[in-house]
Amino acid sequence: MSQLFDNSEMQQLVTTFLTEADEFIEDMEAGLLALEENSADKGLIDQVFRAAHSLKGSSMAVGLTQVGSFTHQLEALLLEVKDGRLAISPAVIGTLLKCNDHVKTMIEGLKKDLSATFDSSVLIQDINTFRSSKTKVETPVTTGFGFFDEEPAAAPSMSAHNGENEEDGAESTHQPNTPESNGAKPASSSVRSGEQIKVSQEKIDKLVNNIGEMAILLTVLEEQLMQVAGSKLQGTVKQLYKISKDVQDVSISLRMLPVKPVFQKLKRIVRDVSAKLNKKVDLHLIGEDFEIDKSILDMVSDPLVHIVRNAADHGIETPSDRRKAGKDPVGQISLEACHENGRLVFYVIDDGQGIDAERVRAKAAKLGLIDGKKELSHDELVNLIFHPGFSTKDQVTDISGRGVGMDVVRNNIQKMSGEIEIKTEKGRGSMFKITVPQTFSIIDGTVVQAANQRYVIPLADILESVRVSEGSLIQSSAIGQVFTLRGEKLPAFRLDELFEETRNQGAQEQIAMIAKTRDDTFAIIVDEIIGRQPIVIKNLGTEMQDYKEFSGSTILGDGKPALIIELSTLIRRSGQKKKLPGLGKERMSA
Amino acid sequence: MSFLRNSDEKVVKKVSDVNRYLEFNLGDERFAIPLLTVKEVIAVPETTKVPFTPDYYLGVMNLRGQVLSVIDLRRRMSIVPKGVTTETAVIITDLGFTHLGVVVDSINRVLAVEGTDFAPPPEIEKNYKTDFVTGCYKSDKHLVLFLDVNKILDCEDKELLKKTQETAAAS
Repeated sequence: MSQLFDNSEMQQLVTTFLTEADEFIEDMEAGLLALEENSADKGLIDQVFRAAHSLKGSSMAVGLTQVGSFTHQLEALLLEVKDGRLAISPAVIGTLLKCNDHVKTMIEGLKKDLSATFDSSVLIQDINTFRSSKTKVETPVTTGFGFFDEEPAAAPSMSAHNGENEEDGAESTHQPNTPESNGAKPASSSVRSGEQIKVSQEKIDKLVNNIGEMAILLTVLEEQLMQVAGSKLQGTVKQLYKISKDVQDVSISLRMLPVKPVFQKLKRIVRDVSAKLNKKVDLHLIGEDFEIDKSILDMVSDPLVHIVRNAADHGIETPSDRRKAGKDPVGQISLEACHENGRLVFYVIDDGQGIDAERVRAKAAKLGLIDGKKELSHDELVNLIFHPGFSTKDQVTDISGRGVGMDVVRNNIQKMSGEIEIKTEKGRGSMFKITVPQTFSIIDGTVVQAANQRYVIPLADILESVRVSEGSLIQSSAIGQVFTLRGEKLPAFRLDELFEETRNQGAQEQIAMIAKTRDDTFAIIVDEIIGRQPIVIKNLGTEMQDYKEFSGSTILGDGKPALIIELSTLIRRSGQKKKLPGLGKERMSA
Repeated sequence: MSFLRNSDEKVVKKVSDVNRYLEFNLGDERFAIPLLTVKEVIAVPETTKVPFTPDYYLGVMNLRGQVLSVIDLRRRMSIVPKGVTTETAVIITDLGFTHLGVVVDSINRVLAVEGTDFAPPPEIEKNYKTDFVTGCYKSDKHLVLFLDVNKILDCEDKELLKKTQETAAAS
């Protein structure tokens, strides 16, 4: 195999194949899952078969013989199914899915190390078992499909197309004549519907940057034109401005991807979990076409997997338990994506056993997280599941959690300035609501002025802004500054002091912005609020990555950069400093 | 085979590019950095101050929509700056992982340095790190020091690291 990689052209082909393979694997998985539900759909079998065939052809062509010979076996089994010689059963689908997983493992392994080897013997054995047993199922085609009571109409339509198919199948297995065999670029595009172009994220980011800059320049231009009254130029610039807005929107949408692949992954997980635990679960997917920034999609995927897996594992009861409780033995989980207030929301709803608040209380008390006797509301108790180190299932399963559970989920969601809420009723089920921003590249922000400089505070951090009136801001020598809001005393921080800058004496009045981070509510005092506006986020260079007080920067209307403040880190920094003097340090070393 | 080809490429590169340097002044002293790391030279831009940074860190600037850090090499080297004149410029350097603006007092010329003109830096006992000076230019009556901007940042990183460690120890 190694002789292949002497020339870089071949290496290029291999790399291309490895990235493209993901798509085929995804296609195949989606097809197989759909096929399980709707075994009569010939289009689905074709889809799966095509994916397997492309995988085989391309992997052979680039010299990845391990993948090639395994997918060849896989394809052979698929051909039996396609030609109706082997009936579709959960067992067959299960094996096919496992095979697909194996291909995925191989591809991932090869991405890291091209000389990796894999053991496919067990799966090949499984495949062969099915292939040799097929004769029993084969008999008249109709009985093969009669197996599925729900789909009695399937058989005739199957057999009607049968002849035609057999020809196709035979041709594709025996003479892979497509360009693959010539060692050329895998011929994927010709098979796929809806032509697409792959573009590197870097290029898109650059485009978004440049367009953002263009928009800023246009704003400047518009301002300058005000001085040249009556000029025809004004109209032209206005039009240009409008178009540039459109272009900006399009450029941002380039980073947006549908949530569908993640949903597909969840479908698979629910299938596997319920099969393993002998549960019956219907998963309803709603809104899989909603689009979301790629980086957010990557980040929200793990939390969703965790919650959905939990719902199938812990939430939904076994069929017999459900019957006892007077419920339909088939559990329902629904996963919905939708828009709310400009943010993307995921609902995960199950009709399982819900969370038992009293069990949560007992567990939390045992772990010493709460005082067992303390009065806590139902919601407070339920929210304890987000406490680090909390996991109610005493038995650790290989399906969900090992104590790293919901707290990690919540942290991950909060990291992207999202939120998670839970509603649950014992015996009736649970609902998780996850709210995330749709894009990172633009946020709503408040531009503020402090110490003669402008900063951006994300609007999501701010509850409200109020003018500092006489006497509402008090300096206490003991605990620092205190701001009184409607009788409530909040810790207050002057932004210029936090930045160790001298205070701008000229500022007449001050604004208190009430901010809420994960643990605290506090007031940030600024000299002036300049405005609220959409903020195009620009990343700071790697040399700035240690300054966690700033999550990024932006370019304001006048072309000057401004820093975006990460309030929670900034406040923590000031807290650390206050602890600094003397005592604590000495005690630590003693 | 491939090994041979690679080394050939290196030879070619050396002749054409690697030995060209951009010479500039910091105060009255002369320095030079590899021309290949220079993206462009611009007039001193408006910068936005970044709190908590060391004094030689001028702030961030807007370079056609990209936000870049700008450092003042003169303060970094404890050289008395001449003040902003028409000569003062910012060199945008490409460090591979990031772009960085570097303020200098004036841009002088491009040096084509032959291998034999290149001498290691004179060894002087110092109580601070000077390893960002990679060498000096012999064939000139002036002293021209070759700099590695990456190394200058390294020192900055180390300072930062120290600072964060101190903070961590204090908490």
